[in-house]
Amino acid sequence: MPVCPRIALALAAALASGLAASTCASPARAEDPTPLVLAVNSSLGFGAIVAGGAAGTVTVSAAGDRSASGGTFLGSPTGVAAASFTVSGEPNLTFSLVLPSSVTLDNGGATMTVDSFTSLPSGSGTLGPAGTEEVRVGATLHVSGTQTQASYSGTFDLTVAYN
Amino acid sequence: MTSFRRIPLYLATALLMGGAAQAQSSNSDSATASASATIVSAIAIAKTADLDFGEVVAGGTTGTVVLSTAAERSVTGGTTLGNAAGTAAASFSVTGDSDGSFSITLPSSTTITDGTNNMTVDNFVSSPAGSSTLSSGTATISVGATLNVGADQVAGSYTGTFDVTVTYN
Repeated sequence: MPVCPRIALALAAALASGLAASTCASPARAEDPTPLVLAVNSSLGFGAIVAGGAAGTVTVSAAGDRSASGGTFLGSPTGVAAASFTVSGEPNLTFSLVLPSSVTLDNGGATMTVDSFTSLPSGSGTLGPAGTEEVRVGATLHVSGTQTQASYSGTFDLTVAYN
Repeated sequence: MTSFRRIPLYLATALLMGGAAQAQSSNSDSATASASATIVSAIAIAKTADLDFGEVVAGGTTGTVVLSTAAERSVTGGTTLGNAAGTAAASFSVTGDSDGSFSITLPSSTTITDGTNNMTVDNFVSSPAGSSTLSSGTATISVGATLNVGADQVAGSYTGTFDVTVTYN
């Protein structure tokens, strides 16, 4: 016998109204996965950078290693870090990762583009036996040859979903 | 038997899991992280004083003159010191990012010449040594070295050059 004998009527009403606002006293079944939750641990840092007269890039890998190319040179490594997130949910389930294509850092006037986001794990990950998994994110910063000397900041979103 | 529409299983499951209406799906989540970078001035180095061993007297055997970063001279072997006038450690001024730490690269050796005869200058030392930090965006480096004097080295005025490199690290 169903645990919720009136569910059929409640669902029929929900379909009619377009809202799924019915509650049910059914206990959670073993196969309902723990809700997936994503939390930020620390931010992405490119550190101190010298604009060398020609356009260039600075890349921070998802492992936290920094390198420069073109007319851009590296300054102090203080603050260099891949971003870190913790995914929490049902142990051993896999999840997909969605990164942005690009975001903008600004100092209130000048801007720089950040793109080519990478992550570890890449594409998808698996929650550990305790139901958590760390995701680290790197990206590439585009610096003009005459980039204004200042501190720049911005944000980016990471999305995870059970798959 | 009550007549009711068959409800798709996925919808029933969603309602059972969701309980009361929730704005977000429990199967996915998003979070926003910050990203930052600082554009700083390039590191630059300029010479403010040349390295000068002063007057040196060559003996019948080889020897050396050691010039410290504090411009103090000492000799070994067959070489003796002459007039100290003009003796100086090299000095460089470094500028750049106020929080910048940097490494100092010295040459292994250089040759000074009177146009015909040569002497080798090596064992370059600096103060600070190895690496340092730009306090308020500036730093000063003093450089000493060792002059290798040949037996009966021909008297004359010997000159040459050497490079010092600083790199953010």
